[in-house]
Amino acid sequence: MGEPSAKTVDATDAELIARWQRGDQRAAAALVERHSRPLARFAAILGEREQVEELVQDTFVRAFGALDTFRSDSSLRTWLFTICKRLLLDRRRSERRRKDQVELDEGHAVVEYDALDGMVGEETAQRVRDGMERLSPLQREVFTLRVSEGMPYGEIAEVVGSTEGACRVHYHNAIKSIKEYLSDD
Amino acid sequence: MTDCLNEEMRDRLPLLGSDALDASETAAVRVHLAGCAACREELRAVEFSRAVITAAAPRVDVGAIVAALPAPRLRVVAGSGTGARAARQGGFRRSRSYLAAAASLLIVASLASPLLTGVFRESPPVGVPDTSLTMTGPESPVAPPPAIPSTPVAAAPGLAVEGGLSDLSDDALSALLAELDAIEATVATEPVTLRRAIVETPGESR
Repeated sequence: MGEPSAKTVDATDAELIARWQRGDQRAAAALVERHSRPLARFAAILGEREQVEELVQDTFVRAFGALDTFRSDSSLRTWLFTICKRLLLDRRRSERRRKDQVELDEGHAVVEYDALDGMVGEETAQRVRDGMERLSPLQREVFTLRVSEGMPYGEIAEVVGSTEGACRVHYHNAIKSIKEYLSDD
Repeated sequence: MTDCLNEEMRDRLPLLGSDALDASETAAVRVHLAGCAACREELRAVEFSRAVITAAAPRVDVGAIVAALPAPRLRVVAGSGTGARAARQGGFRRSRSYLAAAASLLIVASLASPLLTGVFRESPPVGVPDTSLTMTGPESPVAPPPAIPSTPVAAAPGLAVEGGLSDLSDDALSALLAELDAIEATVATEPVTLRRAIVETPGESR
């Protein structure tokens, strides 16, 4: 696999899909490069800890296996996030069934964070984490997709299975809560 | 600090710096931020949150993911000759076409064989006007041949497939061959000349 060229970097998702379907592996690499990190962030914020990469890989394998059925009514990004969330929920269900590990309360997902790159002080970062961990799962999903991925509410609604208006309310409640944690001196 | 009442601007704060906002929208948000402390504080919370979310995500191996992807189902472009599956489908379609053609041929042959047998058995004798050989349509370059009485023809030997020539006597056969030799065939006149030779002078030809 070579480095994605400028041509692949600038191409739209739809163009890259068409090229991959004609056998261009670099197009697949460009799509994975473009979407894997956001998916990993989403999975981590949703509480996936040790198997984020596996989850992201499964998401891409599922998506690429069904690309012939993908209709560009929604964006590829939205589709990938939807698949990722569905896979994550399936895993949690099967984990609960097996009961071979401590049940993870969706409302208190524990997220492990790498060292921040200096932009946020450790104390501030901890406050943000505390605030995020106390959000409801739906609030956290909406907030992450809005803040981290810059998704419009319509797309967020598709991913989380809610309405645009409800997502807007979830976002504003979430940011209000985070601000309260930050100003809690 | 109380929240800003401008919901539209607050909604755009997380999109600042992304492709989701165009240049004019970005400029409007910047102008609003310059005069709104509440939104500046909210933007700070957004940026901190984004940094924390980014730090939460482990690195992923793009190469490993790409290697695990299924192979694309190649679409055959005309003339490319690629795609084993498509090629197999093409072969299947071709063999189906051949089978259909063979079946059609068999059906036509089985239907036509009794008719053809009947045609050969009922071939008219020489001298009988065969209108199927003459051009009588408006596009015909020559006039249709004159009507020939059928009475003498019944007695004339024919060129029927079944034993017609063998019934001729040696003289009659020689005469017939001589007539045939004399005729430099032109399609439109040949049958007429032959018929005249046979019909009008049957005695001479025998």
